[in-house]
Amino acid sequence: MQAAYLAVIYLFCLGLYCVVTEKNLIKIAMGFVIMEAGVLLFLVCLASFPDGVPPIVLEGVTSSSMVDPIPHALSLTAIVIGAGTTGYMLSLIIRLYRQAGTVRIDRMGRTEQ
Amino acid sequence: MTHLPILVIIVPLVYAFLVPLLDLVSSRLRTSAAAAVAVTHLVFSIALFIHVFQNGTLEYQLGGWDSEVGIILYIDGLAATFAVMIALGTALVAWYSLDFVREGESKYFLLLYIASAGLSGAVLTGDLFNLYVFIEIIALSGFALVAFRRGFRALMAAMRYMIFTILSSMLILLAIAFVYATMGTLNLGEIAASMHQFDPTVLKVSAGMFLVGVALKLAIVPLHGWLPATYGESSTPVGALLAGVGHKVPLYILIRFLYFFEAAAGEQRLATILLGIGAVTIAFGHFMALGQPDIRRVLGFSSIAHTGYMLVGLGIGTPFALVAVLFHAMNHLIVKLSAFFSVGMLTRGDRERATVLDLQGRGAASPFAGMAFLVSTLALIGIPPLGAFASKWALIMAAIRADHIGFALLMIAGTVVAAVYYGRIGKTLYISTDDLKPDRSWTAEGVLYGSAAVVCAVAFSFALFPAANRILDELMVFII
Repeated sequence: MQAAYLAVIYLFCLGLYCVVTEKNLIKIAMGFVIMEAGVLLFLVCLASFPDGVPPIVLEGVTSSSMVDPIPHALSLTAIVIGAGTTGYMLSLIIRLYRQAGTVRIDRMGRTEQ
Repeated sequence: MTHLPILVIIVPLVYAFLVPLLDLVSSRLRTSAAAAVAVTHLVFSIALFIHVFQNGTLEYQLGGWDSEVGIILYIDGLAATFAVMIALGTALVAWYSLDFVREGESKYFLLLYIASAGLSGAVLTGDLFNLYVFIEIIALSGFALVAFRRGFRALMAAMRYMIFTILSSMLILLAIAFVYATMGTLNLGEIAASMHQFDPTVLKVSAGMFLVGVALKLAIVPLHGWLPATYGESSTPVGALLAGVGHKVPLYILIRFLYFFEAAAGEQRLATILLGIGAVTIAFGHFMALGQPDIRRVLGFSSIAHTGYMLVGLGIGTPFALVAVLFHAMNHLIVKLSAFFSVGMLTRGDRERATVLDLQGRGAASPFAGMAFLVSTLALIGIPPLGAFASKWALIMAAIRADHIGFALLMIAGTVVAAVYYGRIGKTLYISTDDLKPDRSWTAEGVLYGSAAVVCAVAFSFALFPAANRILDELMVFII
């Protein structure tokens, strides 16, 4: 369990570092996806515990052995939103690339003149 | 149980999804429906406000599930007031857009009304995760709107806006996950009630991430990098939507955070940070606006400065300062919309670029738009008897009463700087180099008349009628 939380920190910080330092738009998009993976992993970790069962009411299953379903619902929503955002971001990068001929943000400024 | 809260959110949402169908029937139907829906949205918001005003705080359970399992909308005076402000702003933007959108561009209305639903939802929700969802709805439609029918530079601006906004969303999502991990609930009311039972360190970490996320959206210096380009490059109604209406949602979240959770009470360091950052934001915004050639960027930097005023007000933290902040937010909404609309009217038919030089002599060519622009810039500077003067005055008084003389002086200095850069634009507006033909279109002109009339009415009513002041006092007592 500890290792999972370390992975959360690592993924989030790696993504953040990538977004802040990279000039390549594709890599920035990747950075966001990595950050998001970190947050999603965090949400999933919150819910899970050893020997937890899916939160479905069946005979012989007590509610105390069920994992918390809310973080799962949250991460599903976050995945959907993330997919939409990433899709739009990539389409924007494609349009920028068609006009500027580069995906590097520091070279785009020069091509526009 | 009244269903007004959910109606305020779904009316624009339903229209947004009907747009492609309506467009198949006829584009005139789509356009007139857009106008009607904007008005309906406003009417529902006002009805909600009146309902909350009469019956007190409203908790609306979605689908009838109670708050333990279901999702709730939580509408108190603050939320209802912001809902009306947002509905009014989006309605004005929608009416202005009727004329702006061409044949075959129905997706503009789709995006605008999805944004409108998101903006309303973000202030009405009583659930932290739904707040995140609504913020994302606003952001996604915002990215697309910024890039709508504009060139390469607008694409760049949209990209930059997107990077800042997704970063802020990630921080807010992580903060929400932290809150859920600690407290096991996402209901704002329950969080506020049980806050003191939990480990303050974890709460401080999540509050910090949450506040940085909100600060990114509010474009507080030094996290303002996206704002000037986004306002400057997007088309007129989109710039107006972002500057006037979109700016109010993070402000609402900040006020809600500070006062609903009483995080500011007894937390002197947070107040000091707000005051400091507010002062830097005021100075930076006004200073940067001085050298800008593009008028929309000037308006953008002035937005940054005005955000600074509101931050200082929040940092002072007395009830009177909060009243002043809310009053200033209302004035800022109306005046910014009016300023953007009049710039759009003055530069109509051009490449829609609005540098100061482009405006040369335009004031004489379209006198009404010129007047509207002058009135709105005077209001932005804070000249009596315009409404924004009253709210700026209130902010300065609040600073003086709380013994923050330095901040009061800074705000006054900011006003002088604003007078310099708006005066420069105003002068250019009426110096003609060649003959320009007036250019008219009835809807846009109508909206312009409307918004300028509202500016003037608000302005003069507070100056001339003490009764209006009394109503305002009563409203403010109710909101807080």
